[in-house]
This record gives sequence, structure tokens and C-alpha cells, in this order.
Amino acid sequence: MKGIILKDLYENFYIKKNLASYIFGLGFVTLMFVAISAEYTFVLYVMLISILFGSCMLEASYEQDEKANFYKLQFTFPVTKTEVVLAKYLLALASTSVSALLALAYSLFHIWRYRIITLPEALTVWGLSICVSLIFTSVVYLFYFLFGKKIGIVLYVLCAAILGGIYGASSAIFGIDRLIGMDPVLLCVYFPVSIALFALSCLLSAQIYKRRYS
Amino acid sequence: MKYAIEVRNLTKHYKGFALDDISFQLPSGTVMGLIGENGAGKSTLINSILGITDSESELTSMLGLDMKTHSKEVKEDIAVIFNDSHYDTNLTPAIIGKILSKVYKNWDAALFTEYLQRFSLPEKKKIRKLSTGMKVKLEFAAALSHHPKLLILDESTSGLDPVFRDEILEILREFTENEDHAVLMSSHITSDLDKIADYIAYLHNGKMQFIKTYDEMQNDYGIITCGQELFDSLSRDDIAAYRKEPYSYHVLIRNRAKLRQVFQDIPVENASVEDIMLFYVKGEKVK
Repeated sequence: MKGIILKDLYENFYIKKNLASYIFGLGFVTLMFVAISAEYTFVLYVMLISILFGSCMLEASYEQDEKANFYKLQFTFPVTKTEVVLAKYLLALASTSVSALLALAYSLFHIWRYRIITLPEALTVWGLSICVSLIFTSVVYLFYFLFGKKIGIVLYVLCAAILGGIYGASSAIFGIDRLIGMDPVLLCVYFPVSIALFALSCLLSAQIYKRRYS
Repeated sequence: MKYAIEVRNLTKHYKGFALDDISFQLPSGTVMGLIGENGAGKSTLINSILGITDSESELTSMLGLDMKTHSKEVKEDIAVIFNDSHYDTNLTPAIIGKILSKVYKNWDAALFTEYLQRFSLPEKKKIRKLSTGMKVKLEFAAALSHHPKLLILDESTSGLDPVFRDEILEILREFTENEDHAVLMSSHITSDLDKIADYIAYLHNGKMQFIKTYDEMQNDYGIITCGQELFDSLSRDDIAAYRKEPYSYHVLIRNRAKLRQVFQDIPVENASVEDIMLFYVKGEKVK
């Protein structure tokens, strides 16, 4: 499993075009974060960092694997098909954790620099972004394993657009204050649910993967 | 006798194709050449015994362990080389080494570096900038650096020039000097098998036609050219296949010694692996 994780890391960060995508994405969000500061954008940026950076690890590695037909070689390694899928999900979990830390750093910077929201409010949004990120990753990873890279990326963009639409609509209908002022206790429900969905997605993907390459 | 591979009654069905009841044994310390035309089922057989694709069998064991229950353990000691590189071409040999060091417990980084030097492979050059021959050499370097006991080559010398192929055959010879090592090698280039194979397994339309030692093949098979009269007088059991020309028959004989007893004066040519394969594929069978 370690070898598969290391390979995916190299494919994400050693290949220049993939690294450039990360740098561009992060640079863009940072720029927007500094340039525009409002409650609405704070939530948007924290969500963006957590969700997009947390879930895009598979995209690059899936693309490279399909291009090189790496699967064939991979199955000659001392690793089971379930472990291959598990390695992808563990890497997703690791990248979600790093993204969450990054989002936390952005949140703290926002509080210190702009003082638009309070620390408890920022932490609530941050906690919610982790839950949404895990659920989003669970869904798009399942799509990747189910449909492959080409359709997977279309569904990834579609899911991101739907999520953005939900955020836009809910903040317009209910107001952004309601989201920021959400009861933090609710996170005690959302977090275990998102973890359970993540685990379920991993199990289903392993079954799909085994069937696909049988 | 210790077997590196033992397969009993392996069957794999695809739409329009089936590997039919394949059984064979590859003794340790030997090289088996797997021959057959395109679509005969060589790659399917290799994928099936490796568990890359699912199949049904009474037994599939490698290095003495059942693949159904010890697949992971077995794969620590085997290496598979395909006809093209399956590594990301943006990576370098050095990175491949780092990745494989996390894949195999007994990865030998020093040996890998040694192979890279021996094959004149630059460690930091991207795979996409390597020539076809160099890519195959990288595959060999990567495959041999975790001290495998069994090498499986799936058309891996195809597309290489004769000089490269000779180097590869030299590596295989070195590898099989150890009695615990074995090689299963599928190849279209039957002249390579003439140089190195101890056993030849011939697969045709998903069915194993025969498995013989190379020496048996050389001793048993022969080609005669004869007219209608002699052809009619040959024992039907001795004719493996024949090709009818306008005024003669080319006959692949499967029992050379027996033929010699009856027809002492007939000139019998040696049959190469390629000849035998061509007779089986293109020749006619006696009824």
C-alpha cells in the first residue's frame, strides 16, 4: 500500500502540470482571500480549500494510471485489489487532513486580519467544511471507480457545481448568518455521518474495482 | 521435483474465447517458452495464473504456494515483465526505484543501481525520453531488484532489436543459473526460445496442444518432404500436420525415431520451434 500511495504522491506533485494546477489553485484562492473579505467569501474559500484540494488527489493518479495502463503491472505487486483502493482512500484522507489544516490557517489569518467573524464561528465553518469535504470525496471517488476517469471528471465538476449551487441558494434563501451561526453541536452528528459515508464509499469502490478488473 | 508453477485444469471464459482446461508444470531451475499465435490465449493464461483476471482451476500454485490463499506472499517472489512499460512516463528510474522499495519487502536498492549502471540507464532521465530498448531494460532492472525466484515475461522481448534481445537472453541465462529460479516466457520470437527454453508449451485457440522439453522436441519432431505414395504409406499417428504443395507434401513428423526404423533413407530435417508452430497453425491434420 505504501508503494501505491508514494506513486500517487509522485504523480500528483512531481509531474509538472499537476503541480502547476495545485499551485495555481492555491495561489488563486489565496489572492481572492486577501483581496475580498466578507462573511460570504470566507465560507466559500474555506469550503473551496477543504473540498477541492482534499478530493482531487485521485484525479491526477487515475489519469496517469489509465494512460500508462499501470493497473496491469500493479496487480503483479504483492498488494490486493482491496488494498489498492484502500491506499487511494487513505491518501484522500491524508490530503483532506492537510487541506483542513490549511483551511484552519486561512481561518485564523482571516480572524486576525479582518475580524469579520469570531473564532467559534470560524471553527464551526471549518468543522463543517471537513464534513462536506469527506462527503464530497466519498461521492466523487465512487464515481471515479464506477465510471473511470473521463466520466468521473465530468461528474466531479457536476458535483462541485451542484455543491456551489446549494451553497449559493441556501445563503440567498436562509442567509449566510444562519450558516455561520450554526449550532456547533450539529457537527457531532455531521462528522460521524461523513466518516461513515467515507468508509461506505471505500467499501463500495473496492467491490467495484474488484469486479472491474476480474 | 519442485515446481515453480503448477496449474491444474485452469479455465477462463470470455465472450467468443475460452482457455480450455489448461494444465502444466514448470519445474524450478528451468525456462519454459509459451508459444502460440496472436489471440491463442498466452496473455490470458499469464493473467489468469497471476490472478490479474479471475479464472477457475483445480489448482494454481506458484513457488509451492496456492495462489488463491497465498497470492500476496507469492507475489513478493515473482516478477512480471510485459512488452511495454506500465510506469508513468513522466517518472524517472530513480523514482521507480523509490516506489518499488515501498512495494517489495526484499527490495535491493544497491542491486537496482547496479542494474541501471550495467544497462547504461540514466537514473534521472524521464522514462518518456528513453528508447524502447532502454524502457525494457528498466523493466528488467526493476523486476530483478527484489530477488525474485520466478520471472514471467509476456512478450517482453518483442520490438527489441537482436542485440538488445541477446543481452536480455544473457540476463535470463544468468538468472536461471540458480536452481531455485524459473522463467515462464511467452514470445512470438521463437528463435529466442530455441536459444534458451528447456520446455516449450504450445497454446492454440485456448487449448494446450503440447508441452515438451526442448530436447524432446528436437528429437521427436522432424520435417520430411515426400510424394503422394510415401505420404500414404506413413503411419497416420506419426503425422502431426502436413502442408500440401503442387507436387509434394511437407510433413511434420512427431516420432522421428520410429520413422527412421521403417524408412531408413528418407532425409529428415530438424524442426525449429517456429516450424512446429507454423505446421500446427497453417498445416492440415490427417483424419
